[in-house]
Amino acid sequence: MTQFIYMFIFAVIYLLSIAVAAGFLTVVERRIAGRMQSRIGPNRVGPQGIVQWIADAVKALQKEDIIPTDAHSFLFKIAPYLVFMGVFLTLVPIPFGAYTLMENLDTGIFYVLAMASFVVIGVMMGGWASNNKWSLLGGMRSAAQMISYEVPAALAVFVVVVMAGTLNFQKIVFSQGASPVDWYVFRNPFAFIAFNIFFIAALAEGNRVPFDIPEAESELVSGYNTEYSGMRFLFFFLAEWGNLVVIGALVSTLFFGGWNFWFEYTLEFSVPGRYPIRFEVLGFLWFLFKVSIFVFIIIWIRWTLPRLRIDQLMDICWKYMVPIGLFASIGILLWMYFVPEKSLADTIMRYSMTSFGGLTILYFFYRVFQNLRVTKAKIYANPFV
Amino acid sequence: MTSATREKELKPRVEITQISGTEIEVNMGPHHPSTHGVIRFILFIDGEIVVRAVPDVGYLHRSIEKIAESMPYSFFMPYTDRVDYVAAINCNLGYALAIEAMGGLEVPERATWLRMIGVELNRIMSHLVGVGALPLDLGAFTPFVHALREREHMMDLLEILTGTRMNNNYIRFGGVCQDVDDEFLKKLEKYLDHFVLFLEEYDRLIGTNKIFIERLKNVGIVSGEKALSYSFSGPNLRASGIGLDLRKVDPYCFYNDMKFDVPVGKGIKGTVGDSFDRYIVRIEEMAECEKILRQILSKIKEGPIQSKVPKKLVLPAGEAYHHTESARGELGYHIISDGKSASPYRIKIRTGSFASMTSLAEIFKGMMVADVIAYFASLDIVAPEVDR
Amino acid sequence: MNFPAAHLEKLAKLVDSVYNGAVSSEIVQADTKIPVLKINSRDIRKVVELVVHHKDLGFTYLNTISGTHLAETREDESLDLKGFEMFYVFSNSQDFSSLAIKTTLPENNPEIDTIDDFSGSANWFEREIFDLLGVNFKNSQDLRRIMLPPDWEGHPLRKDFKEGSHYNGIPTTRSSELEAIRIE
Repeated sequence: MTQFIYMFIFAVIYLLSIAVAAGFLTVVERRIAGRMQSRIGPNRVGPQGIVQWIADAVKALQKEDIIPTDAHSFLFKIAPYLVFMGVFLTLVPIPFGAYTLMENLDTGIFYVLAMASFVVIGVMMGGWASNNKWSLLGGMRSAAQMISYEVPAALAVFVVVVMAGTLNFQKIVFSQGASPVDWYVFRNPFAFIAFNIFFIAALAEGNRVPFDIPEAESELVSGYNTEYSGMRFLFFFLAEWGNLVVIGALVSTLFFGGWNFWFEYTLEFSVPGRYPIRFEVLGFLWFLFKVSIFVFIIIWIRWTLPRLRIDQLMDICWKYMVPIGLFASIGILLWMYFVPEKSLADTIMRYSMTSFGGLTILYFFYRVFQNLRVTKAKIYANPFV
Repeated sequence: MTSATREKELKPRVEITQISGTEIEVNMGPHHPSTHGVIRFILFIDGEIVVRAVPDVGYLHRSIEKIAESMPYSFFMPYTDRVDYVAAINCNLGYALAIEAMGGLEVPERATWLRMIGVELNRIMSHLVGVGALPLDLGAFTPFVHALREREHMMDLLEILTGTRMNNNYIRFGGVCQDVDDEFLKKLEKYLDHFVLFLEEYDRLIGTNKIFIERLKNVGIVSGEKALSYSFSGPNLRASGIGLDLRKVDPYCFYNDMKFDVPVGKGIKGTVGDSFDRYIVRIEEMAECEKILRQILSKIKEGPIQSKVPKKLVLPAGEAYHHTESARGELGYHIISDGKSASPYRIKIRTGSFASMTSLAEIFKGMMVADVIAYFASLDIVAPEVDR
Repeated sequence: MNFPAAHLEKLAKLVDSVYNGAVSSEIVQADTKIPVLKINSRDIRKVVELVVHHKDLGFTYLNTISGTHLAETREDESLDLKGFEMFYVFSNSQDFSSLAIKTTLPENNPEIDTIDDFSGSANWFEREIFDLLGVNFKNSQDLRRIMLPPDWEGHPLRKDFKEGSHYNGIPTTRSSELEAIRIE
């Protein structure tokens, strides 16, 4: 019983902190969008507008909860909770530190993939129950898209599972090291491919631009959540931004070493009492840093790219990503068989991949500054000043 | 592109015969985010494919033509702003020129130059809305804001020129309503220097985006023949490869002396007359407007801005059909005067958007819902111009 | 752009020669800026076919269709009649020179043949005329109201149009009626 109460309290704290993070992310996204569009964004509520999300939430709570007359009221009501649940349950096995995790599930990744499917059910349910043709179209699009993109995502995860030899997230983190050379993404080309596939597929599963066709606001009004208002809409909203955290956390855990901070940890270290708390805090912050980088990239993509058409979306999935994913998953098997860990070829590959990755990032910044120099048009240039 | 892949791309995505027949009727508009105002399509869709579409207009019908019959000629000028609020001075000019042609009114030279400045600035502003709303409808919000930011600067310029930001009501019979000083001309020149760079940057940002190109190329192809049949005009007609510009073929104001090119669609990414061509033609046309504005700035001279026009203007009996090149194509005023009263007997306004709308029902057939949006956005239709 | 002078003189003759005098037509070079070909309304399809398809003319581009209700007697004797005046503007797709075709219809039961098979846009222009002026286009493929709701009564651009006080129970006029301003 005591254990149950502890679990309950911990779950509530967890849920609340993630909800706060999701709310905070909405403000961050709007601020970033504002900078990208040479405007300011919300900056009135609190310093730099960081508590804008509380004002928004309070406003949404005060709104009337409208259920359309002809809607299937039961399904209409529970759909947002299913979506919310699907997103937040995926956070259960993801480690934010050596101890900061809900449950160290041995079936970690498998569990995450399964829970992610809840979202499809919720979205379909909401789309159908709204009794609105645009919502229904959004729901159908969403189902087609999410189910399709689960295949390449699973194939990419398979690559990691083969390399780690386990489904357990904590063990996956341990089997990667702290330095970039030990990260899975730079271990070998197949893992790098898997990372790209996983990231794109995660964007698509999270309905983010350029794959946001289920809610395409210029086509389907707002897709499956057209008819929702007030708190129920807020649940969809929270789920969407919570999903950002999930994507970021999954990518950094699976491919970028997770919370492993600076020091070589071994499994023995994770035994309680032998593990200094300052490492835990540093690891947690390091993990948050990684997550926020990916969240920023997702937001950045959202405010940059147009949306794909549904047939192009399906083409990308089935014609490109699934074959490439299959190639990577077969390749990783061969790689694991012929190139044992710590062998010369493995070491060379790690270091060359890492330097390749580093150079790519450097080249990117070079291009950015080059473009800024070429573009003489000053963004904020007012001709009258 | 080889001919085989080209053929494959041009093939309709789903043969009409394969459609299962369980079509549902969805109501796109009048309150829909991407119908640019209040235009409504009734789409009969099968999955994502539009089997049949019925465009429905008239939600913004204000009976402007009827209103005109009840007021003096000059009182109608503000109403022409509301025909196309995105390019208001263009509509002013068409009306003023028609009346001046009928009444034989003189226009001082400086007034004509100022009119041309207003018209060309307004044309750029209108095209900025057009090329800004296009990526917006494709799901990219940022380019729209960038385009509107530049439009905002131009509105500041127009405010100096005309006194208002929108619905300018700038042009009077026989002149314009107010003069500008040299400082404005300097500001305009300074702004044009900035605008060229912006335009280049904008095209690099949007026009080279892979997704943007994929969404627009080979979508909503209107061949030159079809465009003529649908009475397309302006940028939409030129995108179909027919280089007709009323400023060239039927010059008014001082367009005779201006050196500018008429950009036509060349199908650089797909087929001539596809939605991408309509985008690129507008981008190129803005660059041409910039050239024209620079020529105006080098030629404009001091002088009066208003000729003597009788307060109570009664036009001789007769009629005129006068057309000018507005931002959305041919803007024609058919005006009939009975020779007795001070108000027009009949005014019929022919607008580019109305003509572009006629193509929708046929082009939409067999398209996907997302393409419907892309095609419609690429036409750059303004609802009040359709309904009047 | 003015219609080429060489063609201008020939046009009326051409109409005559093609139809052997069955179609009466006259050219008016009025102050419309574009030449106007006046014809009898029953010949509209024949003339449009000639204008659109003849190899010397090729006026394939339909600029607009306009219509006017002539209710009051006017000074210009050419307009001195009651009825409806149809005004078609065609343009050459090569040099964009324009030509107007004008015809009159009786006030009671105005009817004219449709030309919507010559141009893709003609149908919408005709629908607008039908909606606002009540001119009936015979054999039209799709003649519905376009601007006004389908259950609207009357045709607003007619000079004798009186707006009903209510439309579907909604009052259409205010209690204190704003008078139209006229300079007398």
